[in-house]
Amino acid sequence: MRTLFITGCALVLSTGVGCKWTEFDDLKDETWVSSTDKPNSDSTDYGVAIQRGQKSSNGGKLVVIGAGQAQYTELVYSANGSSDLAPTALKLNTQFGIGNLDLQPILLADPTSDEVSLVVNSGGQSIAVLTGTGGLIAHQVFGPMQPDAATYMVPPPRSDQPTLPTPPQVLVGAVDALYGAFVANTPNPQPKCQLVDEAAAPVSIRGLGAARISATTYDDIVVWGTTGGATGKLLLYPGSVFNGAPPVGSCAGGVQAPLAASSSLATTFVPGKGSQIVMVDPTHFIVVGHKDLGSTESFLGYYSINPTAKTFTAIGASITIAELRTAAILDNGAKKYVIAGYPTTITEDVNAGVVKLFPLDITAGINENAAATIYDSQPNTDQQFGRAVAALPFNGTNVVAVAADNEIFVYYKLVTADGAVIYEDARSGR
Amino acid sequence: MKSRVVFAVWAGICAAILMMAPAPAHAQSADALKKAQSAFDNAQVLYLQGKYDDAAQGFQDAYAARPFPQFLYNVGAAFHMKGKTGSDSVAYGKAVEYYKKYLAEDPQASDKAKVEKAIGVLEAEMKRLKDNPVGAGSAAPQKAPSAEVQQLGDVKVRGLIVVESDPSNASIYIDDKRKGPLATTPWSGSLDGEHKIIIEKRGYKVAEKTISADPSKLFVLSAVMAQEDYLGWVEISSNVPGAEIFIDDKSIGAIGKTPLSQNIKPGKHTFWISTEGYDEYKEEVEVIAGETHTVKATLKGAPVGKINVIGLGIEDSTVSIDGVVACERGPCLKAMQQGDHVVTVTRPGFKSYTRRVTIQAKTEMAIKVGLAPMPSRSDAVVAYVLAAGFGAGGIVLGLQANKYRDQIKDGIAKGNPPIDSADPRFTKGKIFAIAADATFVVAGITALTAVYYTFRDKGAPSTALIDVRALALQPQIGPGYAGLGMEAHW
Repeated sequence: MRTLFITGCALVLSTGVGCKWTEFDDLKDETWVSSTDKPNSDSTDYGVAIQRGQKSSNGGKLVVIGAGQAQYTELVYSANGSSDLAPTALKLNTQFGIGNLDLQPILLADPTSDEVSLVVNSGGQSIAVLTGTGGLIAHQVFGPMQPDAATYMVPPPRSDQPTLPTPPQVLVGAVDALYGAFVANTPNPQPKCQLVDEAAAPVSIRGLGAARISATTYDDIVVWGTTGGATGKLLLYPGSVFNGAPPVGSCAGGVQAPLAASSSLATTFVPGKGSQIVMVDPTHFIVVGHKDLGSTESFLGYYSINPTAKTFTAIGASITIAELRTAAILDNGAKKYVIAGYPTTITEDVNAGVVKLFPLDITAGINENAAATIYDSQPNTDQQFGRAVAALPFNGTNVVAVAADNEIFVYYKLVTADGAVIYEDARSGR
Repeated sequence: MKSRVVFAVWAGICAAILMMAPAPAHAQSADALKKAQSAFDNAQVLYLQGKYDDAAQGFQDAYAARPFPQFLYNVGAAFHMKGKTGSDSVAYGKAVEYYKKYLAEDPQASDKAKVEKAIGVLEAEMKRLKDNPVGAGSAAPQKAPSAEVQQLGDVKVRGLIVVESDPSNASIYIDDKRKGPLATTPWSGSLDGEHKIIIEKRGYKVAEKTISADPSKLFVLSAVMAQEDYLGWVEISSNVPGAEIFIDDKSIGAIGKTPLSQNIKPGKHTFWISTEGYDEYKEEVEVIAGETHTVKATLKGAPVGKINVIGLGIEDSTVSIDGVVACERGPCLKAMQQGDHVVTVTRPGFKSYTRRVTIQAKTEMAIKVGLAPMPSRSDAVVAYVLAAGFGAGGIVLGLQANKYRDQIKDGIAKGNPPIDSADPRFTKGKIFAIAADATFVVAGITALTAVYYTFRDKGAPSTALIDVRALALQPQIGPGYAGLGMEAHW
């Protein structure tokens, strides 16, 4: 009885003066950011690439690629912001014999559908293009070993069967040539289309984009590359040549002659391997440039294509903040932002990485003053926050998704440093 | 010239008349005592020189001057030693004669048995000498005293203290008056050591003298008491002898015990006579100079028993009975009225002992207390320190939890950088909060334990053995009093 009394008194006292630990659970529900750790132990380096998955008006889906070993996963975000791993996870080695991934694997999202494609080396002299929605189908590109760039393009009607539908196809750039992907019956040798500039100089491809310049049913190809290894150039190639069988194959209907650019624009930055072209709309795009290993120089520029003259125009000033790795476009109608990932930038004295949101005006270009700089509120060394970024369609709007080392962040609400709302909390049902 | 002659003649006549007039009684007594003392001193010297006949004569002269029985003993002793040294039957006979005279004059002599034994031995020796006269046999055995005589040893003559007063019949007190009067003057006897002799008589000033008498000498204390006409005389007695007497102011303590007689200043006086087990007697007396006043206290006894608190270390203990300190220090013997009483014994550093006891009349309850030492409270101190430590730890942990909470709240409110749901501060803060609460609980339990340790009665309690014995009423007789008293015999 005495013990009960003492215990009771102690509990009463502790209730009066103690801490409410449940308060932290309540606070956790008040955060705007969902953080998802590596959902399984199949990859040691989870989150090397992210891309939006199947779009939905209720919640969202994010494709996340893991490395070592290679893994394809989809994180399903419910409307209230909670996340779960979709059962569609694939071990690429088991499914496709892909044991290791490139340092910066190319993960594309089809702008016209929910499909995504992972373009990686598949061992030997071939590149795998893994395509699908929820699941993946392997396409092979034989010949080159490493992909330098890739893009979805809507090809023109086939020359042999012009009435067949022409769904978006993945176009892979390797060294100085473009390749189409085959599911089966790949011709040997693999059809390719070598690119040269106006001076017939071979172009080392660093970035690929698909532009819809005129009122056609197919895309033209935008290439950011180098000629002679010292000059950076934006080059425009007509998409009409990619009308062979299989759909994207040899240029000019199987003609093996190099394809000359229809126009070009020199860029001040010479892109290294892994640079990107990110389309903002059919005639506007940004280039994300960085050097090869050993240099932290980077470049972020905004360009437009004149539909009539089919020429490139740089809009606004370029941004040369170092250590840019990747970028994506956050487009919520009137407001557009460039989501730029700097995964090795030091923040709060820690080499953890940041992501900057640069306002993007379609006519004025990129505002070099970031509207927001986001990073892990408790940054860790080598966290690589921002090594992959994406705009995630969620509950009918787009939110920022950021990949770090073995951790995926989704920002359901964002404000500027001044507290101005970039976008309101997109979650519902909370 | 003529007048001068006349004066001288009258002076001579007066002187002659004075010389011819008989001496006063006290002067005669003083002379006799002086004579006795002189004879005693001479005889003492002769005795030590072995001149026993002369010594015996000197002691007889002293007795003739002042008939103190001790002088007769000394005469006997001188003849005793003469007989012993010469196996003189005649001397033995005289020794026996004077020993018997001594006992005849002082039948209450403290050495009566010893003297009677000596008489017996000497008479036997006389018979032995008579039966074996000198020359009838071997001379040596006859000359030697018998073994019995030898066992008596050499006899020493005795000194004497004589207390006299003028006037006589004064009360003699030894050391103080509380023991009551020893005797009245004149008195002779033996005293060992140093004592204060108080001589008091109604109407006379009190005479006091401190003596340290030589037991082998005659010591005479002669007090000539001056009249004290302005004092009154009070004689105090009670039906219970030995009751304490207080006059006018109790706080100064008892002035003596009943019965008591003494001078007292004229005026109004209050007398309290009390003794344990009896109601207090109080009487006011208007004392008149030169008159005798009698206070007779009739003490009424209540049905009482006694409580006797004893035990190891009781001398450092305080005994309270019914909430009142009965004895500042033990052992404590108190008479209590019949009925229930609460006895409490306290001692610094020890657990107190409290017991309700029922005292019955004419019994003595002995309570032998064994006080248990107070237990150490070091465990409580340790518990308090631990509680404080846990409390401080809880505060530190709580502050840390609050720090994380505030950081998180601030981060959420600012939103730049926004805090994610997996921010480690959620986990850390929660752990700190839980740890703080757990620590507070432990601190609370420890504190309550410390409080419990502080007040718990640890260790064995103080105990006591209680024994009850009946008290027997028995007569008590003392110098100048007689009555009934109670004593317990174990």
